[in-house]
Amino acid sequence: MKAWIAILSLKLIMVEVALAAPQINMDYVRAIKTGGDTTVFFKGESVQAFRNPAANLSEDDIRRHLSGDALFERNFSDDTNRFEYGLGPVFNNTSCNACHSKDGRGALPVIPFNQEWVQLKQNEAVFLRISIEDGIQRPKNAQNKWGAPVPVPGFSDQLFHLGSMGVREDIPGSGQAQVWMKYEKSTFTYPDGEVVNLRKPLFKVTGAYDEYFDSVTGQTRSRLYENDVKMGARIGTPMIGLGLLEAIKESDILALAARDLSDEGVSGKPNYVIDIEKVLANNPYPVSMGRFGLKNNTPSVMHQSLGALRGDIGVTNYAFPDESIVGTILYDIFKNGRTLPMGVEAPREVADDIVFYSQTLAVPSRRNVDEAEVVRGAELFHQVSCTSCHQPSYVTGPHQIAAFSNQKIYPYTDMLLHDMGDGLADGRQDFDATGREWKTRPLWGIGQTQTINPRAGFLHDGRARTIEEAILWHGGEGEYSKNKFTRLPKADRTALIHFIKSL
Amino acid sequence: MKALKMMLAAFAFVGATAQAATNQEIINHVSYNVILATYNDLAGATAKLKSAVDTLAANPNQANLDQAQAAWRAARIPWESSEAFLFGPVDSLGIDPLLDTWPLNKLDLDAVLASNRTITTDFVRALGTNLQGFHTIEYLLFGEGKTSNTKAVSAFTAKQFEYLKATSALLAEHTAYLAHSWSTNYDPENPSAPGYVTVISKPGFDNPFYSSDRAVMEEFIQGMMGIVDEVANGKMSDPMGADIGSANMALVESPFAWNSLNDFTNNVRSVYSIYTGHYRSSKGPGVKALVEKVNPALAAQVEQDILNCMQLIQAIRPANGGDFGQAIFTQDGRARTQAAIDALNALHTKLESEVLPTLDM
Repeated sequence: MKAWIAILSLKLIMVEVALAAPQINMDYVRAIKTGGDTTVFFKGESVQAFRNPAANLSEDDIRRHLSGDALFERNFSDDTNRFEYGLGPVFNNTSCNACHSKDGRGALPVIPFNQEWVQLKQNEAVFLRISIEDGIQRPKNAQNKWGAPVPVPGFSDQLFHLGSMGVREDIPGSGQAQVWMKYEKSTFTYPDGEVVNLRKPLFKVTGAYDEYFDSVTGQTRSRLYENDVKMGARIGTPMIGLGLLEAIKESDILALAARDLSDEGVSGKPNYVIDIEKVLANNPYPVSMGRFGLKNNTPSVMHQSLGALRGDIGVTNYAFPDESIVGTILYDIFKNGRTLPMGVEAPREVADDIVFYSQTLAVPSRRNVDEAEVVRGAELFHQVSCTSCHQPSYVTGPHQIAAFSNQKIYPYTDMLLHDMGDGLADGRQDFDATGREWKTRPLWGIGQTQTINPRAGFLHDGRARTIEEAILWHGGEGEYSKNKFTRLPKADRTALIHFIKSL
Repeated sequence: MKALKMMLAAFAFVGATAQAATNQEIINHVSYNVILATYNDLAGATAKLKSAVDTLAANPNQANLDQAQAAWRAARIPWESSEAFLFGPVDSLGIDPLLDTWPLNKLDLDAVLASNRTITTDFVRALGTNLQGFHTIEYLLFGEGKTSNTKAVSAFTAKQFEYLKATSALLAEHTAYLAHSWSTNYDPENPSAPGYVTVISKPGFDNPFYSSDRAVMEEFIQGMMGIVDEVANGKMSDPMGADIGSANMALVESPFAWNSLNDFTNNVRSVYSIYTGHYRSSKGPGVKALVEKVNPALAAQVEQDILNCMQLIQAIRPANGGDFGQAIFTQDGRARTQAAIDALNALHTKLESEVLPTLDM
């Protein structure tokens, strides 16, 4: 009954917002203050571009931000005698900063040219999401964990390739399994004959902790190696402007979802996901609209950050108090004979300061907005319909951090899921997101990405070395725009990329 | 007569710098004669450390231990003197954490040393970054560091020698790779990529990272600002805590060898090198030459401020022995630390609000 009411009221909202169909405001072409009054300004190019607090924070807020900053860079440890205790027992990295290099994007591991596979070690910015995938979309109820991915038995929904000492006596330093990566190379040829080299990372897993030799089939087996297990790589994403994305009005996002863009083959949809704040408040229907994560699978910066603190680094906190591998045999083996400290590892204020920091990193201003090439590129951006998904602007609604309320911002995302085609698909459902759907990435700050980290890669798994490569990977709902882009004369393609680099 | 000569020399010197090096001349000198030279020195010093460790393991006596400890201290100098330029391959190839993660994970290191495992370079390579690099070697060579920074040769176990050899070999390997990436090939995925020194010293439209000489100059200044901030508000402030009760020895960098104050001084020395273009015997134009064109008084003042910060850091050293890790547990040591932090923060402000803007004047 309750669910019925929820659906009904949702439909009413959709009807209401459909009336106010959003238009593309072309003021984005020359807009400089990308994050409204939160914007920070740089004259040149700098590795510090993403490392600043929002410009309009109060002094108290700045102090909190700086306290979170130190925590974000902290190397957590599994040594109980150490101040920054809490790492592990399994993890993907030892600090937030290690995946979000200088608060920007991560890079895929280096594969020397004379080598095929490389093993993911410590300090790589990429990890694998894993789940059991049978293609069936389940109803959203408590029994089905409100549509959450089905964890791999004996593992979870994230593969932890690193482990504290003592987790794997057989392979010290490893976690649940070892992960390897290589590239599949391909080329794209423009209608005008220009060729671009593309690469896609492929992963294989070895040394799973439950691995055994099956003498009947003559195969090495693990639950992880079964065919119904799907894996998808995720790379560390930029940390800027997250509080502002949180402040975008839900009605504005739903209005974008309600547009009819069928001529372009575009149909953005929201994701509805578990909301840990509602769970903590004992809300019987703990589901909210997703805004963060590459498939919009978390609803808030708090949920996303504290989930990552426990997941990626293994530091338990008030929102996620259990170790990530509780209930698996690996944990039982690890526990055996050890006295484990009781209680959560990150004190409340540590957890909250990390969340606050993650909300309050500033977006840098646009650059070179008056260059003719950039202006022309901005107009082409709209002409080839990039703006259909990369919605340029919003005016934010209220936010608990006053600095983010009522700001005119230019994030270039509709905050919605889109089918991006086979080339990018990871085959994994995540709540309402299918194995082919991804959230539109915000483009603000993107032009500074490789100033901050020269090897940083674009798209969910960091495969694209350039903005051009990222555009060429667009398939599915992105196909229409990509085709329009590829048919542009070279000079126009360059101008369009110039515009994106000015963001 | 002598005074006249000196005056002439002084004029000649001022004339030479006031002749005003261009951005491109500054970039060239700093890239080749400061940055690349530092990384070459680092690779050489860690190779010496490796062989000193091998000698000690083969023949454990006091003289060989002294030499290995001296080699560790010597290798710290170029590394800490490189921290004003933590950009390029040291960052993008993930080399920094392999060399210099701290604090060390003593718990796990002790567990490995107590086990029956065979310690090889590949074994250590597979372990976390907080189980290898400078500080692992430091702990093994100098001991606990709480009340003294000496360790008896008799205290070494066979396992410790194995671990020392493996981790020193890795340190030398990683620093050689770093020097190679600057001199010869910055991108191991692309054999035809040049050394990073070629890339950074030739900014322009076709440069993948730096579209203008202004961008490289900003990288230099931001690099200086970054380490000044890090020394003041990370390396010194974090272990110092709000009061003596919250001071934390476990957060001190280089606490075992009592080398922290030298580390911090060399960090600031790297700022001096980028600023003046002086590295070892090499003297050439640095960022100062740019500032001089706009404001000679500011240019000289900043140089003085950098030197002053180095002196204030050295002044933290307790008179009755010990280093930074001991000083933060005394009231007067904390006061001297605060004076250095304040001076560094003032320098940071000056770099940000006065030096950086000269780029656009």
